[in-house]
Amino acid sequence: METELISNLIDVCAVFMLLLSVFTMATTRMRPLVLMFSAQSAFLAAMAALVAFNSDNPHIYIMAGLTLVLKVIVMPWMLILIMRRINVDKEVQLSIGIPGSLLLAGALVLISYYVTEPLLGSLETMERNSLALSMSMILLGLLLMCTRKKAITETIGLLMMENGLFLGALAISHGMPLIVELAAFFDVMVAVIIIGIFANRINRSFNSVDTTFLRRLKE
Amino acid sequence: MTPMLLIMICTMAVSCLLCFVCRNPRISAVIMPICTAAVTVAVVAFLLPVINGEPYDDGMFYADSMSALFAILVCIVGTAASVYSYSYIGRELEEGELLSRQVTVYYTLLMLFICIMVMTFMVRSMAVVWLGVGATTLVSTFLVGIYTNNESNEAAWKYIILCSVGITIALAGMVLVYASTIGVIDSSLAMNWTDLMEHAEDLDPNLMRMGTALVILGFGTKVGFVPMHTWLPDAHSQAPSPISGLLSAVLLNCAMYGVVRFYMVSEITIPGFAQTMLLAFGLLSLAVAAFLIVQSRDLKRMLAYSSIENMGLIAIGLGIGSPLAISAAMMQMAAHSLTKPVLFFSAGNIVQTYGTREMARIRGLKKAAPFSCFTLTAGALAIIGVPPFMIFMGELTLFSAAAEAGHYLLMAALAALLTVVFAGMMRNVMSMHSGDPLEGRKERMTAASTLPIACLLGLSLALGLFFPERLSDWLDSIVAMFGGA
Repeated sequence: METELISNLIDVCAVFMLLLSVFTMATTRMRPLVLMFSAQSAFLAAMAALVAFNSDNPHIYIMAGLTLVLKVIVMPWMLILIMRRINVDKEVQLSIGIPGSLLLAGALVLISYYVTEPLLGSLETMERNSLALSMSMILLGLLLMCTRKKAITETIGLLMMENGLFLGALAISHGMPLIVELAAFFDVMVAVIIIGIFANRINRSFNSVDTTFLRRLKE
Repeated sequence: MTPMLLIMICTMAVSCLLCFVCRNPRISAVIMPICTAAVTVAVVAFLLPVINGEPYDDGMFYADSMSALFAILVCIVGTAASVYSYSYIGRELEEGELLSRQVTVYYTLLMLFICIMVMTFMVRSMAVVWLGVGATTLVSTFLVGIYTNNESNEAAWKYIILCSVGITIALAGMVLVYASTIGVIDSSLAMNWTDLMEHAEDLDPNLMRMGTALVILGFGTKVGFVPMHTWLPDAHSQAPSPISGLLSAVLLNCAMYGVVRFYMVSEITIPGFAQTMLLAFGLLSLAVAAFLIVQSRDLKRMLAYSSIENMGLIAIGLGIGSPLAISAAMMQMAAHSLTKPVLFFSAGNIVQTYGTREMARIRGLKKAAPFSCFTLTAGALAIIGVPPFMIFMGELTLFSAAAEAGHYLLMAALAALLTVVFAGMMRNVMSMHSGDPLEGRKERMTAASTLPIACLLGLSLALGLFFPERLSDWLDSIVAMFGGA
């Protein structure tokens, strides 16, 4: 009975994470975008804690804690700090309109269900339903990076891809070995710091973080 | 952990520390080549038994003849680049392009970059290899964006964003590969390459297929496969020339190393899948790069496209997958690593002499920069596969491998595309020879700006003429690892 409840809660967390990814497609403002990322990470942390409780894998608690500290608090705070510092416009610039983005998002979710279906037979964990959700989140993160023009939105897209990846790792294998997860966290953390530095530099040289200005290098 | 390994790691740590502590750019310029030479000696000393056929295997660390080949190439090119930096960065400092603070950062990061690349090849767990490849991006972003002007910021931005996405996708692939090992390998050993190879036949084929596809796609972004190559010409053209040489000659190999290791595992689990994928990426890269070389106007961008082309050839070699083709791919990789820095360093001298990278504005190269004119032309001939240089050997082996495997259409396509590369490269390089240079343009020739180029060119020529028995044994031992170690 209790395991069933937990398993349902895990599915709820995963679904909310995907929903938040889809919501980012319909947002035109920067701050809500960062908050959505933060909320999505909170669901990821909750889900990791549930999986840890359920599968009796104490190292997943560490992962949940790290997610809570780094992705729910530190990284969004850093992003907001960068945004304040470089005076980014409050509006997100879209290269595809909101209806178009949402349609594409729907298509990507369908594609992920189609792609992951043959894999389900090989998996035994009860969280395997989340695999398609994880794949959709990775694809939606990519879509966000491709269709939004600000340096900060590209960063958020990358972070959301990473969230999808961690969801997938939890879903299909109860998390990777701890060393791998720590390595991945470290990599993301440093990448965000460096991206922040370069967003700052781009802002200084073009007086904007609009990446459409980055069209000088071409043949 | 053997004493040799400990000495090697200590040498690396001390070298990085020395470059970091030294605040005087003139002194760091001298320390740097000494440090890389010391690291090279330590690495070679550590790897000698490995090359002679005794893989090093100890807990976290693991080295076999393939890692030895990759690591030694990094050391050779790294030493050449640090000697060349003495002249190139010295001149940038003199002309006020770089501040002395930036030069200190440059040398520290360069040393760190070389050490991380070497260590990436010496670990057993594929997760640590992944971390190493990710760390090389993070370190080299600052080297690409060292000039802090608009163009180099743009290049660095594209570089870190695209490669971070690539590395994330590669990790997603590794999660799936890990999932395929559940129930077969104990979870704490599951990402170890040796265990993966040992149990490759029992891994779950469905998960492995998806995992391999994502890993090749992810690492392939960093290798520069078309269509994920867009960061590559920007980063290579905007970085300082010693860094361009390193990026092109050995950083791409690092990512290729990740591809090759997973390729070896997946070829046992699901034969043919990784081969088809690499063959497709290789042909696409070769075809697109060939035409980009013809129409490029910027000297360093042209050289970057030629790297894409060479990575394509290596991928095609792996894609054919016969022992002969794999030995061709390894030979091509080594030859490209030794030849490409010659071109980038010569281009660096030329760009510093003329103050532009645009080939249309570089005229009278023979009069203004006789040495670099000679080495650029010789290097260009070497890279397009003119005998007797080493790349010719690689390409010839690739052709015979394709013929042996009965891929006649592939052979025809290769011949046609390599002809396009030949014509494009020669037209662009030769057009710079003639004409009259502007007044007062004269190449500055110092030992540091000529020796590394001459040595690498000599090496590429010598290995093309006489390929020692020991090297071919080494190559054979690498090929023997494929298809069941």
